Amino acid sequence: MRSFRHDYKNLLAGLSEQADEGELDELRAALSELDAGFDRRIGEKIRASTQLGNVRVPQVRSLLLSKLAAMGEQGVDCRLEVLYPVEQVGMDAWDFARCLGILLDNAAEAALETDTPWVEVVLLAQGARLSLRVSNPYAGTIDPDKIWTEGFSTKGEGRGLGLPGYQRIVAEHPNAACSTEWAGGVFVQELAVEGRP
Amino acid sequence: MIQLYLCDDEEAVLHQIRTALEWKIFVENYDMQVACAAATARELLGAVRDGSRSVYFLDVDLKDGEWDGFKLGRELRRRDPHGTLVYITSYGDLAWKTFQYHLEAFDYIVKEPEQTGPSAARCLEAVHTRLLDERRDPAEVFSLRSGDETRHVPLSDILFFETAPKAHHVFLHTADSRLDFVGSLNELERELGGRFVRVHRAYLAAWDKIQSVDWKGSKVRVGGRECLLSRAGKSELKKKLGGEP
Repeated sequence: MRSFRHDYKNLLAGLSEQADEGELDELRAALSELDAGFDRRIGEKIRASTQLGNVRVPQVRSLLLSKLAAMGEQGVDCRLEVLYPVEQVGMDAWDFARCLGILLDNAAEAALETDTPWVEVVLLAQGARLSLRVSNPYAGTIDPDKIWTEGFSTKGEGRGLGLPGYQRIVAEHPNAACSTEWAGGVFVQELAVEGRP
Repeated sequence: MIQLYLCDDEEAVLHQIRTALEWKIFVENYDMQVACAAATARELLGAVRDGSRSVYFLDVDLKDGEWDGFKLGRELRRRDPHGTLVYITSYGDLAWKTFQYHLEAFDYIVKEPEQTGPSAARCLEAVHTRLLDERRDPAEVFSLRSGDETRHVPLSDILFFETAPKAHHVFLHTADSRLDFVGSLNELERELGGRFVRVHRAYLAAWDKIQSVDWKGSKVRVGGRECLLSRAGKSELKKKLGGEP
């Protein structure tokens, strides 16, 4: 029940309805207005060294926008790098957006337990391959055997439900691989998707 | 003699950096020389020799036909896997983490008036130190290929390899990471020889990281983590233990 609510909130952050041609155009217009609005208000708080506009997949861009805005408001210093335009994600865009949402939620939650909370997102599109890296500082120690357990979080039982959900989505996509690192007090999750060339 | 290569389409920047580097080399008596200062990617690539373990100073903003700073770095990595990459940038336009993670770029130089020269000199010092350290203590690395990228993991950091749930995927475990890549334990076992023991169909453990063996419970403790131990694995271990002087 809880994992559904967690996911659903993330989905609402994206486009949550199938739309026909006409509505799609309206949605696109609304999105670009939203983009401009967000950029104006949140721009200063988000140190994006390349444009968010390089993310050309609507579900992913709108999720990034709302997450970055929310994190900015919570006092998390957000950094975004998108060196090349991301035209496709190589897997179902909704699933990718869901994964991104879970990773960002977890990153922000862990970062907020530290003195200088920050979250860094690096998206790199190279040919058919897309790499997503989400990094954040963390407090305490990571037990590698427990990271993927349902309900695990450094804050205690019952939190951080997203991660096993993330695992499940990645497991369903044979062309997606995830790597995790936690050296030097920085937690990094990398999702690599090998699309069809 | 370590070769330095420069590539920047701004004549003035190229000159400033070259001068600063040559001065630093002279003052510190480094065993280095500027082999080429090119204005285009193609010129640079024409001068580069494969596998030379050289140092490359590249403009982030480079634009030369299909080449840009990142693509050039990627190509140089391919030709000179042990080379050192340094990027030249103006503050604010560098997607630094992208270059750092995906190209294993070493450092960057800022091209701001008054800062370019000193920045280059400082950087060269850091490169020199690192190369000396590497030479004195060459770490054996495992090359992990994912797509077009190769990531280097020191062999001594690896605790064990484990078959991942995804077909043809393997997890590499260190004390602070779990990396996913396409591979097979059989291949790895062949490639890595005596340093790793196949303790189970799904686990290839670093011999020098094995802490204890639970023969009854069929488990091995490797670098603080647990791996399964099969009957075949037990005989592998016994064989290796028997062979120890």
